[in-house]
Amino acid sequence: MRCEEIKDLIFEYPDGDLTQSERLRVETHLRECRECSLFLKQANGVWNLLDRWEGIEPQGDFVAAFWDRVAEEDLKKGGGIFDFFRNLNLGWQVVVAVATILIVSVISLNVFQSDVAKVVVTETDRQDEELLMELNKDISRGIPKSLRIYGPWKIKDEGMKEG
Amino acid sequence: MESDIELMMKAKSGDERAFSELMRRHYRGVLNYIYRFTNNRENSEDLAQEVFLRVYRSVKRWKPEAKFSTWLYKIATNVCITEVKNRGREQSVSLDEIEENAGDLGDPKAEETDSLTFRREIGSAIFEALESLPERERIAIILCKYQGLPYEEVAEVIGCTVGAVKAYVHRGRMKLIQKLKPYSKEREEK
Repeated sequence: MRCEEIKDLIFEYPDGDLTQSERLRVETHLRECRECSLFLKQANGVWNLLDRWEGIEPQGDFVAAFWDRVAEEDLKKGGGIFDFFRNLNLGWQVVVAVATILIVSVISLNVFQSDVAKVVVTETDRQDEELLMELNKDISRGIPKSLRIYGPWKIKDEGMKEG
Repeated sequence: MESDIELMMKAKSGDERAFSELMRRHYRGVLNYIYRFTNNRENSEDLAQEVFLRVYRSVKRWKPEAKFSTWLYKIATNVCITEVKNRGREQSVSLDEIEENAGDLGDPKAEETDSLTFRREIGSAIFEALESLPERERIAIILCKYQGLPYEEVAEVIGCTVGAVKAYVHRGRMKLIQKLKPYSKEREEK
């Protein structure tokens, strides 16, 4: 067995991941090869060295700090309408069904109520209407002098002739 | 004692005590995972809270398909990767933090004034060696070595096969040997 092959197997050697024959071959090679034996020693040394990097301990009451942070973030968000629906945890099928019903309802209302739309009549509209009625009466009686300024323009020519 | 899954089911139905219990169980692990990844003591607390906040916000969408710890470390890994990328953009900050948090890097053969300095130096050297590894090798080694996760769980966290995890750990270890050999030798001499 070559040294390179041994180096590939060497990490699995302590884990017991090797087959019986592989294990035997590795052990035989390690007894004979000083370089690989040194490599195994270094590999284990470095692996154990990693344990020397000590971990850290949580500072203070992390659970209380967490819930404070949750409350703080909730306050910032202000619980919008989207959060409300998100918190209901509805399935997408339900959401699609509700949205479809809403859309169909809005369309139906528009279709059936468009002809009975209420027209709001204000006081100004009423006055305009009266004025129009009066004008209509005047016109039907004949053109009064006050309206002659709008025509017919023959009147001017007649005046010139008279002059 | 209730299992993580039972606690998560309770948390899902709005039981805050159950979620607090889950935090008590896993907080230290997540905190140290982030610390090994970032080597920033102060920020690790904040990021660990961020991880649990993400878990809490998505607790209603959680399904008991995988182990809780797998899901937790998946989220923690994403938080760490984002943090490391952000720190990469703020290079000056990270350099200051490394010095502040881990002490003087110096020559491994330099004389130590006390054991605290030595521990800091070792911690810093290990962090630098891990930081130089490709992302997946680094994640695999931290999860296997420090968090004690089995290869199967690490594979789920990373999203690869068990064989691939073994290969990442193997390649990572080969590189670590080259980088940390002097420290290991020095320790043997002592």
